[in-house]
Amino acid sequence: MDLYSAVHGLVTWLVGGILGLLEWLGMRGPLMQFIRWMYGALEHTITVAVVVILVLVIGLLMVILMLWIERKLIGRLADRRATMLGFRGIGKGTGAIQLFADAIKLLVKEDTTPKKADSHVFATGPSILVASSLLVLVAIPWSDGFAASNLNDGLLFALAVFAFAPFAVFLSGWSANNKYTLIGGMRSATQMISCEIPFLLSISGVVMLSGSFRLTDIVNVQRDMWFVFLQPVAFVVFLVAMVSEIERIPFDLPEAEAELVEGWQTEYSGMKFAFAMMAGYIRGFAGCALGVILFFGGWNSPVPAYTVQLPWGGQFAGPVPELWFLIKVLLLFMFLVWVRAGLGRVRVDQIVTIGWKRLLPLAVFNIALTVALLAFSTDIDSDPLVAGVAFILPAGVLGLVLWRWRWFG
Amino acid sequence: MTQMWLNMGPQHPSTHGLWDLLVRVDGETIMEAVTKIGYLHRGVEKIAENRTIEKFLPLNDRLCYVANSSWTTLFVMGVEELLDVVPPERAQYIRVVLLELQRIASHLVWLGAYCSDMGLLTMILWAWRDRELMLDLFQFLTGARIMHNFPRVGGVRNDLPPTFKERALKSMDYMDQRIPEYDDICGRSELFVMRTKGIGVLSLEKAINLGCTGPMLRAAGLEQDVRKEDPYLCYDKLDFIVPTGKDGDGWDRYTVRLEEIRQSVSLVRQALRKMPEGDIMVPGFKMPKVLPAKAIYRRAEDPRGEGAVYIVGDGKTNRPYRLRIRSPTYVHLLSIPFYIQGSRMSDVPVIMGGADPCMAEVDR
Repeated sequence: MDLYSAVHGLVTWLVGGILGLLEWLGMRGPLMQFIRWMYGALEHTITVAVVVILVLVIGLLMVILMLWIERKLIGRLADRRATMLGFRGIGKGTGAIQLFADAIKLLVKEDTTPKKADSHVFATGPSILVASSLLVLVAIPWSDGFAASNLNDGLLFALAVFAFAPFAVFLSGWSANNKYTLIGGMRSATQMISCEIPFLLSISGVVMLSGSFRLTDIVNVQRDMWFVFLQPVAFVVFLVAMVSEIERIPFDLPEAEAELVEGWQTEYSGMKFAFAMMAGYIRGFAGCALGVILFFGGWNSPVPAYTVQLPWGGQFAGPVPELWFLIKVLLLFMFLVWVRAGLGRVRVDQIVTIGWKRLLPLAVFNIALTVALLAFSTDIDSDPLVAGVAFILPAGVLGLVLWRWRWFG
Repeated sequence: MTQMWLNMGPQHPSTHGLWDLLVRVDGETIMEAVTKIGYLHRGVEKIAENRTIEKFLPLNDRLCYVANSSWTTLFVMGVEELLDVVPPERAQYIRVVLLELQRIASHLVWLGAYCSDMGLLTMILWAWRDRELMLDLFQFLTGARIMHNFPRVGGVRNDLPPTFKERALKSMDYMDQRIPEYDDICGRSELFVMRTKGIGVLSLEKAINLGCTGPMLRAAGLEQDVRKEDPYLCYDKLDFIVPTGKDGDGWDRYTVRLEEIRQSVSLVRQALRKMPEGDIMVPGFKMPKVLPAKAIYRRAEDPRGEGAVYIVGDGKTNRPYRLRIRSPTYVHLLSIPFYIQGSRMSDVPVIMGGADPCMAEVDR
C-alpha cells in the first residue's frame, strides 16, 4: 500500500461518511446529486492535495528537527550547551521550544524593505527559494509506499529543482540594492557554476549502475550492496558538491558573515528571513536524503526482517523502512554538522578551483571507471572497444591532471 | 567590471572594534583601502595632564580592554624610572606573572577572533572558554577580571593569595593540553592553511619601514622583542625564546602567536617557581609631591607589539606635563592599506584580524 492509496481510502471513507450522514439527515434531490458529482470529479485532486500537504508538513517538521539537532550538536562540539529553553516538566534543558519561540519571534518581527530596493523582486526571491526547495521534497520517496510522487525521472526532477536556488539567491541579492547582498548573490552564482557540474556527473555513475532514474528503483538495486562501496569516488565528489549546493560551511560563501555581514540575506527581516533560513534547512534535508537514496541504500535496513508479537494481539513486521531512512538522513546531516564545527570557510576563488580542478576530473574519472567496469562485467552486453575508448579518454585527462598538477593547482 | 567603495566597518561583524576600512573593490579584488579611526577617542593623553599619577593609574587599564595590565604596568614602570625607584624583586616577579597571564588571555582572544573571521566558530568558543581560566586567576589575584588596577608605583597592590601558585600551575598544565588542540583544529586543518598561507604578506622591509613591532614584525622574520633586547622587570633572569616567521603572512602570524602562548605558559611557570620572598612595595615609599623635571621614554612588550610611554615631569606639580603613549596597533592598523591590495574580499577579515586591533588603544 502506498501513501496515495492510503490517503485516497481515508478521503473516500471520510467523504462517504459525511455524505451518508447528510442523506440520513434527509438531504436528497438535485443538490445532493450535484455534491456527489462534484466529489467524483474532485476525488483525485483532493487526494493529491492531502498527500502534498502531508509531505509539506513532514518536510517542515524535518526542518525543526534538523535545526534542533544542529544547534545542540554544534553546541556540544564547541563545548557549550546550546539552546536550553524547555517546559518545566518535560523537555527541560533540551531547547525543545526554542525553535517555536524563534518562529513566533520572526513572525512578529517587522518586515522591512529597503527604500531603494526593487520591492517586488525583493519579496519574490525568498518565495522562489522556499517554493523550489519544497518542490524537491515531492520527488523524494521515504519508502516504496511513502512517496508523494514516484516519477520515472524522479532523480532528474529533484536535481533540476535543486539547482534552482542560486537563481533566487542571486535575484534577492541583486534586488536589495546593497553592496554586500550583491556580492553575496554573485558568489552564489559563481558557486553554482563551479559545483553543479561535478554534482551531476558524480550521480551519473550511480544511474549507470542502477539503470534507472526512478529513485525507488535506485534504492531497490542497493538491497545487497550500497553504492557508497561501489562508487566511493563518486560519493566523495557528491558530498563536497552537495555541501556546496546547500551552502553550508565550509562553502557558505553567499552568506559569509565575516566579510559580507550576512551576505545576500543582509536586508531580510521577519518572515522573509525565516523563509531564507527554512529553505536552507529544507535543502539540507533534500541533499542528505538524496545522498542516502543514492549511496546509502535509502530505506533498506541493515537489520534483517523480523516480527514482533504485539501484546494486544497481532504482529508487527519490522523493520520500518521510513524509520531507517530517517535515521540515515539524520546521521548524514550530523556528519555535515560535524564538518561545520571543524572547518572554516573557503574563499570564492578557492571554491572555483575545487569545483573545476579537483571535483570535475574526479567525477569524470569515476564515470570512466564505471563505464569500463560495466563493459567488462558479464551481465551487460556492450562493446568492449567503445567502453575502452570511453575509459581511456577521461582517464587520460585525469592522468594529465595528476602529472601536471601545477597547471591546475 | 565597475569598481565600488565598500565599508568594512564601523558597524560590521568582522571589525574587531569600532573602526572603518574603506575598500575599493573590483569584483572581489581589493584595489585600494583607506583606514578611518577615531571612533573611540577619549583624549587619554590630555586627561593625564590634569591628573595626579595615582589618579591616572586606573585609566591605564582602559587603554586596552584585552590586555589591561600590560598598559598599567608599562605606565608604572615609566613613572618608576622618572622617580628613580626600583620595585622589590618579588613585586617584579608578580608583575611578570600578571603580564604573561595577560599575554595568554590576549592571544587567546586574538586566536578566537581570527578563526571566527574564517567562519571557524568552534575555535572562538574554545579560546574564550580557556581565557576564563586566566580571568579566574586575575580575579583571584587582583579581585577584578578585566580592569585589574593592580600595579602600583614602587610595587604591586597586594601579595599573591596563599594558593595562587598551585592554582596557576594547574591552569598552566591545562593550557599545555589545550594548545595542541588549537593546533589540531587550526594549524593542521588544510582549510585554515588555505585561508592564511600567502594572505596579507607584509615583507620584512615594509614592516620595518612602516614601524610594525611585536608579532607582526616577528612574523615577517625579525627576532625583535623588547623583553630580550631591553630587558625590564626580571625578564633577563627567565628563559624564553622569541618565535619568528618567514613570510610575514597570515599563517606566520598564527604560528608566532601560538608559540608565544607556549612561551608565556613556560614564563608563568618559571616566574612562579623562581619568585623570592620579600616585600611587594618599596618600604616606606611615598609618592613625591613634585615630579622631577625630566623626560623618560619607557617601552615594553605589549601582547600586540611594542608599547611605550613618554612622560615629562615639570618639576612643579605632581601631574605629568605631557604623556605620550605609543600604541603598536595604531601602527599596524594604519599599515594595512600598504599591503592589502590584490587580496580578495574574503581575505580582508583575515588581514584585519592578523593585525590584532584593539581600538581603545589605537584611538586612546
